[in-house]
Amino acid sequence: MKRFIIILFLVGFTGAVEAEEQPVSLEKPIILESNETFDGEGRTYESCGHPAFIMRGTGTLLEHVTIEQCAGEEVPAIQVSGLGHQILDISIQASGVGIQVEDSYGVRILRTNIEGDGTKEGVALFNSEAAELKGVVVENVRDGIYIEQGSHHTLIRPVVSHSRYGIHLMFPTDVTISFPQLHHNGTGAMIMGTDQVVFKNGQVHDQIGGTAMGLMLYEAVGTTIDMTEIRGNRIGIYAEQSEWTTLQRNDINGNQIGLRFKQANDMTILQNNMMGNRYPVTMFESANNVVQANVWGGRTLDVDGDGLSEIPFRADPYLFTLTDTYEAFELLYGSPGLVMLETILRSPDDVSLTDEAPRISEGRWEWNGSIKQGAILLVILLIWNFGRKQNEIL
Amino acid sequence: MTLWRMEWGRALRQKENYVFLFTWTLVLVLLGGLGQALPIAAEYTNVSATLITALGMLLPLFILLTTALHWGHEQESKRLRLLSTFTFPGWKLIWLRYSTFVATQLLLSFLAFTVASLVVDLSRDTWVGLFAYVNGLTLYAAALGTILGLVGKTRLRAILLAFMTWVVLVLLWPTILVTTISWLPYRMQVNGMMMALFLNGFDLLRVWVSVALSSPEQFGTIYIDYLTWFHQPFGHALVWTYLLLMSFLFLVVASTRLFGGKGHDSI
Repeated sequence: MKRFIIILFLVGFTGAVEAEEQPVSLEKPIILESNETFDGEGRTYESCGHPAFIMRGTGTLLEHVTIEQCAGEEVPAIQVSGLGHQILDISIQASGVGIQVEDSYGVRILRTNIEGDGTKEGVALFNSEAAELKGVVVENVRDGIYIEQGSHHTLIRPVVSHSRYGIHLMFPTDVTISFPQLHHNGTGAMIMGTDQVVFKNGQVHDQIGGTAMGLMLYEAVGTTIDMTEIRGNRIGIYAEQSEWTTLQRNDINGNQIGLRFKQANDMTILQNNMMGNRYPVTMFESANNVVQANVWGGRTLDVDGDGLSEIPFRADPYLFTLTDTYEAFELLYGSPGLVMLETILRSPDDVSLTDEAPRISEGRWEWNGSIKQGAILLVILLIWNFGRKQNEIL
Repeated sequence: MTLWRMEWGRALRQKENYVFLFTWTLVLVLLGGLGQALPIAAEYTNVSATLITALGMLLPLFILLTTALHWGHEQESKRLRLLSTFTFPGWKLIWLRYSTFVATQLLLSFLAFTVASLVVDLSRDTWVGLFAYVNGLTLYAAALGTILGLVGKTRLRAILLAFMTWVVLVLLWPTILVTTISWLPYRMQVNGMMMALFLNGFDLLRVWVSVALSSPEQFGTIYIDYLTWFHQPFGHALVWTYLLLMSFLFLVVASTRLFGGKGHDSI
């Protein structure tokens, strides 16, 4: 009986502790002016028809808040403008834009989770300078992180999934993206009209859909993609009308097409591992590039033992031209006849992308045998032997 | 059944079986090993896509040549004339040879796949998909080779016919499609390509197994609606029914060609 009372007491006590706090319904936005701070202490705020928080002026701080927006919102959950604001440890269930930053300088957004309904952006930066986004996790929005105009932004460890574009850059300059994880989006990152974007140490994998691309560069100048793993996409990196791009030390594997270039020139493509893509590269009007020491997974022969092949790797523009002009011919991808055609075609050097000394690739075999496989082998051999002696039996 | 067993025993004793076994094992192990040398597990593009391309090129050639040469030799050596003196239906002879050849190839490819699986690590679904692909190619190519061998009448002509057929249906097929389909209006090109799939069993099997092992998305957005059903049981059933029907039709034509509806001693 004594034990029963104790258990009842404990159950009652636990229940009291686990009781959830009621969300705070906001009639109007909470406005933070210069140097004000707001610590939500983990409380949830509901907003309908207006932003939950507006941060303006200089140096405000918003932290430890959960925001839930009503369905079909056209306004952002958090609206930011001004200098040096900080947003820390925020969680947002958004139907509008999660966090919208306009005409700002030095805004920091740290450890923020945003889950949307696929219609608006997770974080949107307009005409802002030197924003820092660190540990932002976004899921199921239109564009995970959208940056329009502005410059000198830093994105560290952004994680975006199940969205249209993971990161969408429109005309900003000097953006550094480090350790991004972009997966199961339509396109991992869309980099358009930019200047001096650095994308490094990332993982861009398993984008979904018929046009699924790891990274797409359009009219981007001076982009550097370094030490990034890009795998399981339809197209690993697509670059069109982009110049002075550097692709180095990336692992671009297991994509249908590793690299696809259209009018992409003055690029430097160094020491990338391109093995395991159905087509390592297709290109058109992209011959003027420095291409060295990449692993392409084709025929290699290392005579002098320096790790580099004496057989150059060449990519012919035929395949790109064919499928770019007539999309229906994409059904021929992987056709033995097309592979043969691609091998025997010899376009002039000035329209081919050539790696004069690709790195050699080697196979790897590991013993995977089991007793079951051994037994199957034995049975097949017995059947074969038995079958061979049918005449003798008769 | 006794005759079938005797015929099967004869097929299993053919020396070329060892060449087939060696070739398939080598292809599977070499390409599988090269694809495995990657830091990631992207199974479709690493290994199976390469194997689909390699097997899709080699297997039809080997099977077409073997079956065509066999029937060309039978005609040239007048053994068919001798056989026609027996009261044994001609279609049964063709069916016996065809079915025992296919059964032998199934056994050989199963053996090659089992040996390759000892050193190449792929999922069971991938092995099953590739094995189905190999068997589909064998069924279709053997039936086609039977006709070609009977049409050729001599060994040389049979081999030439088989080689020409392989060149057209495998090597030149993309070029033929590019040349013809590009004349169609843009909106009809996808339909044209889909219809062309059913003119060439080798190409149909390639697209089917690629979609089955990967996804319809690999052929671009415009094919998603067309190819999604390949993933479903209905798609599998349709493709295989079509293959079996076409193979059956080839055998019927071959039988008609051989005996022409005339008496059994008319060869």
